[in-house]
Amino acid sequence: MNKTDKKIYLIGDERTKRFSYFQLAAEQLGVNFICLPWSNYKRTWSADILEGGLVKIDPPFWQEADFDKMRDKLEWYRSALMEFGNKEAIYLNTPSVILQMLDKRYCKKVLCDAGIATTKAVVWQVENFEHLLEEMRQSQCSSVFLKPVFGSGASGVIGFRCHPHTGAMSAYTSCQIENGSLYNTKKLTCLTKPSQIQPIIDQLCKMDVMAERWYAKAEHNEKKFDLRVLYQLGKMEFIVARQSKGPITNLHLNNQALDYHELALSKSQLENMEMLCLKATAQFSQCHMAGVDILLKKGSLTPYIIEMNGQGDLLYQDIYGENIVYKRQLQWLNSFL
Amino acid sequence: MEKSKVYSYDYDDYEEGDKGADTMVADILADSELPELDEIVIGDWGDAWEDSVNQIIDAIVENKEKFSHIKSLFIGDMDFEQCEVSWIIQGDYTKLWDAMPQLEHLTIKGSTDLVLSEGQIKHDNLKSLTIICGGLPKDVIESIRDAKLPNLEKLMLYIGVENYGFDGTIEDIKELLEKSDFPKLTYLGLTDSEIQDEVAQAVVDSKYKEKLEVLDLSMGSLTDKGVDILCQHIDEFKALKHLDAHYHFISGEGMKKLQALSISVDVEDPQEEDEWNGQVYRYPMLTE
Repeated sequence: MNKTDKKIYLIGDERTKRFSYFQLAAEQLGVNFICLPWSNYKRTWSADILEGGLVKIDPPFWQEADFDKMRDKLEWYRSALMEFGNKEAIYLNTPSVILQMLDKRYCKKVLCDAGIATTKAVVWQVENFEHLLEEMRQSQCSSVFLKPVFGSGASGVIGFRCHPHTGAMSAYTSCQIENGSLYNTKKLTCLTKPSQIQPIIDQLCKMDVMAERWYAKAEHNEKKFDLRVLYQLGKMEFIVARQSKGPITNLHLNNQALDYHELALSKSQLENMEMLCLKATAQFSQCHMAGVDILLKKGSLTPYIIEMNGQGDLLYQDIYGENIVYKRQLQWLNSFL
Repeated sequence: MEKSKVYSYDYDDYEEGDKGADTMVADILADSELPELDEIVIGDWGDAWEDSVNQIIDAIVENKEKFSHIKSLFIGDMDFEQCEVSWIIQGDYTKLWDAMPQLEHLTIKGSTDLVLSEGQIKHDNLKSLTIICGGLPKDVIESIRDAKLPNLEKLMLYIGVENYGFDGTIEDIKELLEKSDFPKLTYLGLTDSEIQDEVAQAVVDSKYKEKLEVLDLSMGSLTDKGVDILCQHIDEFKALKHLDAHYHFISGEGMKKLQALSISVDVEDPQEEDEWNGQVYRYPMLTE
């Protein structure tokens, strides 16, 4: 292919902030790109167009609270990514990297096998509520986070604990059952009655769910926090601290973002995090960018990777500021033209 | 400036190591900074939902001369991620009162298995007593009611709810205020209650109101009813400087009434009632 024939493609959705701020960055840099809208996939464009191109893949824009419907959409999304993976192109993140990180179980196993500090998996696949209790008893772990293996953000996450002797339970979740279906809400509640908790966990486990140990997170101003580190192209590009009164810090649950400088992390702590991100992203071939969620353990402030997201680059603190994340991505893609 | 230090184990310390309630005081004694400390804060001692604090109290009592300079002690400083407050196994503080006569401030978090004293609490120097919990047992309230604490200036109690250990009624709160004898009390906190309006009524009826400088009725189910009770009697609180009512179910109108008072008022963090099957629920803060 002739050098000048190469084009930059963004597979995304024109209604999203991801698109508009990527576009803004492109305008400011004087770089052209073509948007391939997810809504027109297999209608006005097919995977063949990617051949020989320079490609960034954003996730489709879904506002779906029903878990059953979300599962179908995810399946469609994964098959699309697999199809893109057959095309020779230069990707910011290859479809394979995105797929590997969408699979939280696979991603955690990769990190564990490489000896990278990550929150420990207690049950790799939870069958149902009873199975979870049994596994927790056997592993002598009384506090876990349940997570759909394919899910994003706080969707379907349950902070669950069960007292090993008294059997007292608590479940922190934004999930609710309505008319037999599981729904996400934006309100975190704490349930303590097994009769309330069991149906939600049983319903959630109809999806593919894993359980990992619940660590006490560090605090700032009496609120818990963890960090979303955007690591791309060999460095920590941007860090956002996510604060919460409850155990789930995800910003979709009306939690607050915090300028991480307020945490006054030491130089060595930042270096440790950077090294952790470097090692973690190096486990995934052709990974040029990842949103790495990191918790600092209460007390020691030791960093642990909670999970990684191959498309975790939407950071409002950045796009409303210098928009540096998308600019750097465009510069990198443009360097191949 | 007072020097304080936190002693706390994290999960790995006790899960993969050999740390626990039995090693906590030995670790504190081995700390070269101990002689310079004014305050000791004991956080998570390991399986705080399985092992009580008794081994820690006993070891402090056994080594009381090494702790004779400590003026402030907090036992159980854990957040909900480390241990749900209602799961913390507290212990028997009977022997601590004699062992630490110099103690001025005692804070206890958790009320399960909490015994303040088998007999009457007697302590000449204690200035503040704080108990943070999801539900305060009636026998703990009775222990405080009967305590001989002539220098107590601050009493801060989380009343909580039945599910988390509050097995008393408003009558127990009234008795506490009627029968106790704390001549120097200027700071009264009766908080985190699901009967916060009734608690407000009990306080305005109590003998302590004239001397109180700070009244804390925060973190509970306080509504406009409680606001009206307080506003009607506010002139009787002759020394009051501050009313803490943060985390509440007061209307905008009610908040304005409180803010119009000639004292400082904290009405941050208003809450919304939950409705279920026609029933209204107002959950205190440390119970959800």
